[in-house]
Amino acid sequence: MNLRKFFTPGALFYWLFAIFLYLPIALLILFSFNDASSLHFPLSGFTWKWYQDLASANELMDSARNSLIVGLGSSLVATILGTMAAIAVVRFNFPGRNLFIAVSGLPLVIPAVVVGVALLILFRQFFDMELSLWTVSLGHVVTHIPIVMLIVGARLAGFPDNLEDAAMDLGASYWGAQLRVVLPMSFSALVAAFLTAFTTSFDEYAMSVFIVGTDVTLPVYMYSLLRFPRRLPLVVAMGGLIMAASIALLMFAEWLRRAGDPKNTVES
Amino acid sequence: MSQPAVQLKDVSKIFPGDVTAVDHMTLDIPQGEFFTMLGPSGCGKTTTLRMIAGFESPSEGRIFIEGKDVTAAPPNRRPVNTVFQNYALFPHLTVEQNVAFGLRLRRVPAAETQRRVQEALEMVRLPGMGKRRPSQLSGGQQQRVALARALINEPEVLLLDEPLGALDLKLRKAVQLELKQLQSELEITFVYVTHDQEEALTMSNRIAVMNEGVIQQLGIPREIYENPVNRFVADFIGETNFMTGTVREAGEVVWVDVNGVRVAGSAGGNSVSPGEQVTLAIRPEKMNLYPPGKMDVLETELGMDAAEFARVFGGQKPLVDVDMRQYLEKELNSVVIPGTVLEASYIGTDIRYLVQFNGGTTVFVRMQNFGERYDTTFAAGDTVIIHWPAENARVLKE
Repeated sequence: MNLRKFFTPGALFYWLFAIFLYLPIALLILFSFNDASSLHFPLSGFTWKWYQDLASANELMDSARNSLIVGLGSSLVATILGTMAAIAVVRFNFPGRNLFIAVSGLPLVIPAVVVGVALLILFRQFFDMELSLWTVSLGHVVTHIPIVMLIVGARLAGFPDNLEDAAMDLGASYWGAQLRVVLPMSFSALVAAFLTAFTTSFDEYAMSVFIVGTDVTLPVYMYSLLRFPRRLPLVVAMGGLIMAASIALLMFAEWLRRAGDPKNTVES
Repeated sequence: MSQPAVQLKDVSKIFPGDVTAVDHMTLDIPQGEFFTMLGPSGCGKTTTLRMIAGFESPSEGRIFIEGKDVTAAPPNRRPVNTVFQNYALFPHLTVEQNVAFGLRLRRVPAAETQRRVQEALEMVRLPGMGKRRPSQLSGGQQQRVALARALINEPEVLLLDEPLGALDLKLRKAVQLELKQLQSELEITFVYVTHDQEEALTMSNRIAVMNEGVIQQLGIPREIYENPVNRFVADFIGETNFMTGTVREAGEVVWVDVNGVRVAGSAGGNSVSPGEQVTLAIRPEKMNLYPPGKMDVLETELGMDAAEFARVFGGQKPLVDVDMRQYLEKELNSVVIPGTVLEASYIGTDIRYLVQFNGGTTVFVRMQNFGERYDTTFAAGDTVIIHWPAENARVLKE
């Protein structure tokens, strides 16, 4: 191997970046297999024990199930609403369009704690709702919509709008054109948006902690576990599992996004 | 006589922000015509086409197709199909699926659809390409798929929005001929939008030259080119020299004083009176240049043999002589002006000269590249005689 090539500034930055980003995750994975309940070097031995314990940790599993429900539900609703908003913004010019675009991106930049407190006030003070998985899901829908709008909007903007004109010209109604042309062409973007929203939802803590009821989501429950040092390895193992699943999901979403992008389509 | 295929009655389109794209347009397009709307970008030609297709609704006026009022009908309820600029083929469908799109929507039985798709692909000379994706085809092939996809629905009117804009020159010329042939075989009304004047002149039965939402001139190609009604049309179609001056003698032939030089053009229906300011328009190829002293060329032009020429002009008098100019002007309505070549540019088929009259006015003159033998090429600085028969130029009112 040519060492000179290995140590070019570009390569050096890349490796520094990679270490900075992935070292903590690597440590997490490493300790999840460590045969000791406190996290410190030297490692004492390899074990699957923590992963086996996960199966019997009922509350943890319940919270994981809650997170799945919230994630799937809120992502589905957000994908539908966000796609409609993206079509509105990309294909139509209406009064207040620019304001709408600016406002709809806000949940991405407002700190999640702020959104959480705001939603708490809204749910409790104005609507007098009991906090539950429904309130968490609603909160998640709010934060997912801009994500979906960005991903689906980019796809819609990427193909010419006269494809819809062409479909209508050939006899399709407006909804027929959406169904036969727009939906198939942006389908992979919809899936990618859904998956991205889902992973975001699954990880969400800062906002959720304000608006969960007695049924907690996984991140909220895991954070509460940190108070019990003996259960720490369980959290680490769960973290390892989530990490693996998240990476798999995100890679799948990214692959879909690329596969459906007309610019990247390489025909054989 | 049958009703027009397309009828526009006092149609206007005003976009938000008070942008008038089409301004009170009234137009009849007879059945089977190859009708072209020609104009610069922003002249309203595409908006007009989109209103006929149903993608835009007129702010005012009514649109009729085959006598039926379609002003409020959506695109899918109109007996027209469109070939889009950049084709708008569906990238997620194969060529066959693209072509079959319209038939599928109308629930034509699968076997018939299959047969008609193959026929359509053969018609546009793309047999065997059905299984490919649009992205695997060349621009010219994609253009034909777009054509097949539209024509398979047997529209009353085919709308074409700059369909050849993305093709290179050679291919464009070939497809122009094919399109024209196809149109006369199928006897379908074509409404064609382009900004390419040569394309319009080559293919159309009639041309509407548009600017700022208004039809400037409507006529057959020859009429548009030979008798432009105003400065815009003269300038947009082909190349035209404009000279502004004062009318000296009015009539069928109008004599105009341009910077002290007498030039003439036909009035072409415009009535002007002496003293009026007018513009004289003449195309570069409608003038000739002669070397001074080389009488023989002009002799031919005048239709005189050498003896008669000698009798009238008394031999080898210089051409700029006052008597002879008077004779040419009075008897033959010919303009003869001495001048100087300022610039000669070689274009291949032609040589284009920038010539200055002895009076300051400059014009472009195009001479066919006929070779060297007859001394018809000039260089910058050469003294020349500029000649044109009055009817070659047109007088336009300001």
